[in-house]
Amino acid sequence: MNWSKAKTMLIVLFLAANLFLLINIINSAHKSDAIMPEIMTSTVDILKNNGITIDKSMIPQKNISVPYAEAENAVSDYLEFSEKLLGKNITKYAEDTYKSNVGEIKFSGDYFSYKAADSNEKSTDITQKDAITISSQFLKNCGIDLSSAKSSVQQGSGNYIVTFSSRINSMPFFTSSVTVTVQGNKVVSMDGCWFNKTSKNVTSITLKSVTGVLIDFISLPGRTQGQVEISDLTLGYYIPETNKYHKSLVLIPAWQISLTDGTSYCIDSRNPE
Amino acid sequence: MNKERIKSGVLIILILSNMVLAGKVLINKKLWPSGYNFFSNFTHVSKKDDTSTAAHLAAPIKIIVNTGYQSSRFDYNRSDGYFSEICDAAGLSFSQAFSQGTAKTTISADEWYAALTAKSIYFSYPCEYSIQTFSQLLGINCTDSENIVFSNLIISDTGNVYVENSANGTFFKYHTSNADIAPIIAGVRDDNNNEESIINYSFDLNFDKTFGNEKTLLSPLIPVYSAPVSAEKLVAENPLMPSTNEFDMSAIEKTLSVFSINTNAVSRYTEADGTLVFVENNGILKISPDGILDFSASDSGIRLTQSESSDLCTTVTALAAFVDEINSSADLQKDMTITSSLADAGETNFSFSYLVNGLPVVYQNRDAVSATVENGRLKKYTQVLRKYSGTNKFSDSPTYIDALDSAILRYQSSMSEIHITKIYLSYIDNLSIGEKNADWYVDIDNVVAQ
Repeated sequence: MNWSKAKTMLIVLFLAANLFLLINIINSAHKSDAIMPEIMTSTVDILKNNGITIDKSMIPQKNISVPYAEAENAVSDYLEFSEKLLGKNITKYAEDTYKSNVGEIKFSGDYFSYKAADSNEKSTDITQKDAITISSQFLKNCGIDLSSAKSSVQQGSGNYIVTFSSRINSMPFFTSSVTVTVQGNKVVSMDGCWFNKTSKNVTSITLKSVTGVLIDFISLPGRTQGQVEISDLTLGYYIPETNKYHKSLVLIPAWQISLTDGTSYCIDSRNPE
Repeated sequence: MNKERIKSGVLIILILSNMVLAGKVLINKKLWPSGYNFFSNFTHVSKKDDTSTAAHLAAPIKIIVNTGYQSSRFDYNRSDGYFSEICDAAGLSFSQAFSQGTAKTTISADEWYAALTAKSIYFSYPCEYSIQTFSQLLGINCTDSENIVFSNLIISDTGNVYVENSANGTFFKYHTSNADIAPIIAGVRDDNNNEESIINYSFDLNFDKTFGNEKTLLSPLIPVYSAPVSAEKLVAENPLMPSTNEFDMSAIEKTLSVFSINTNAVSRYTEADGTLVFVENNGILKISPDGILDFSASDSGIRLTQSESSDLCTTVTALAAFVDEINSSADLQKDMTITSSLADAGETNFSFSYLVNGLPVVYQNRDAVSATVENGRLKKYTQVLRKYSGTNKFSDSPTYIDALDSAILRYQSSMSEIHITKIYLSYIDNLSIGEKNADWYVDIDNVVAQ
């Protein structure tokens, strides 16, 4: 047997086989990321048949993975947080409610609601920028990390309403936001809940396909019924139950589906497989 | 020649890379349907080995070999070498007694007590059994259909089996014979070089009767030790929290998988007191910083048995295997014994205790494991997460009489008559991490003293 010729043939054969397998693997990887156009079209049709309209261009064309994230409640302890805001001479006058001559704070699960004692000071010369500065400083003193937060300001009647929205790994954290009302040079009220990011874990979480999430939305309990239109689709993190207190938690990646009627819903987008 | 070598080298590289790429394609594509893992059959085989809880569901907690002399009785627990040998020999007697239509006669209490003072072996069990369930657990085909419930058995040196039916206070003797018992009794006597080992039963000392003003009664079969008992000191640890305030997440994830909790779909958060909570469609699992695991099923529960109408033996065996799996996954103390009654075929609540050096570990107001199983499904499960290590340091227990006196002193002002149902040596754990000593555990009708 001409072993040399046989080797050459085998080399050619295995080269071809390797090339075939390589193309197969690359193709597979690309396909598993990409959402097929037929699936997108079917999803839009199914939504339409259930009274939900969505612009197809709004749907991402690839499957996404997001970084794992853990966060810690800025309110590590109700009493401790209250003392930061109201000083040491506080009294607990109702369940999860604390008061001092500075003001009053009430807690419900992860939520807190603060009202200053004297909130009649009229806004005079402060600007929107001043309002943001005053409220930022106030929140930092409460232990709230605003380094990745986004803020927006609304001018009210004699005051400014500054809303800080948390962002983690450059994505919105839907459940974590605080609204501060600034009047004069003072914060007169503060409401919301806030979590500071803690994890340095670099693992990624593969999400289920966004088309699957949209199909899940059809049967989501409590959503607006009848003809609705999806105005926005945003990926971020959320907490499903804020009526309970969470000292720390693993954040759940979620798609927030916003409707034109102003309502929005978060859907757990983790791939259970 | 050089060219041929190069060709050979290239061919080998191509073959190897082909194998790697083909392997990658096969693993990615997966040859089994989603959710089914072929390899789980190899990793999830329930191991019913010699140390498992499932293998010891019908094992006694204590054996006393009565040599015929009150001054030489010897006791053994699961940590002693003789224990298995005695249990194996006893198995033959039990098989004869309960499965071969062996004649049994009703005997008097005196004959029952007489068997204990003669050459015999006394078996004390950690819970009550019905004769049918006990037989099933030992793999015996029980032919006796009478409603007999017991937690104590005696085998005489000739192999007769004595049973006290605690359902109605009657006593039976099964007329069986077993040539293996007498040599064991003689062997125990010889091995101990005719040394004295004074263990009296409560009835020997009339502690089971009241006289005059004496208002304390001990159950007749409680062993009374004349000398303090030496036991190794232990160190307790919580393997799921090896350092203060820091959970071992990889050990926890292994434990979650035993509860069929999907770590990709579970919500995880920490409560104000540091308790880790996992919420999934199947249920909620909590692990507190002091090492209490608590699981509540949200839906029908975790399936333990094939059928919803499994008998008690099948249910408790499946539950014990589940407990063994948790102990293995979380690296907890592996030796356990069942402590809840197996007398009622419809029983749904079960409890287990850890055993260390053959002695049970007791906690205040809780069991090491407590579980509710309905229709073959686990609905509720609680476990104290502990592992115990020996220190090679030994200490003597307080004297038996001192322990008895202190229990009586504690309750005599509030109780007109004190009925002590159990006294035994155990490790008392107050849920703190650190050193534990053995002490006498006194069980008073509906009240427990330590």
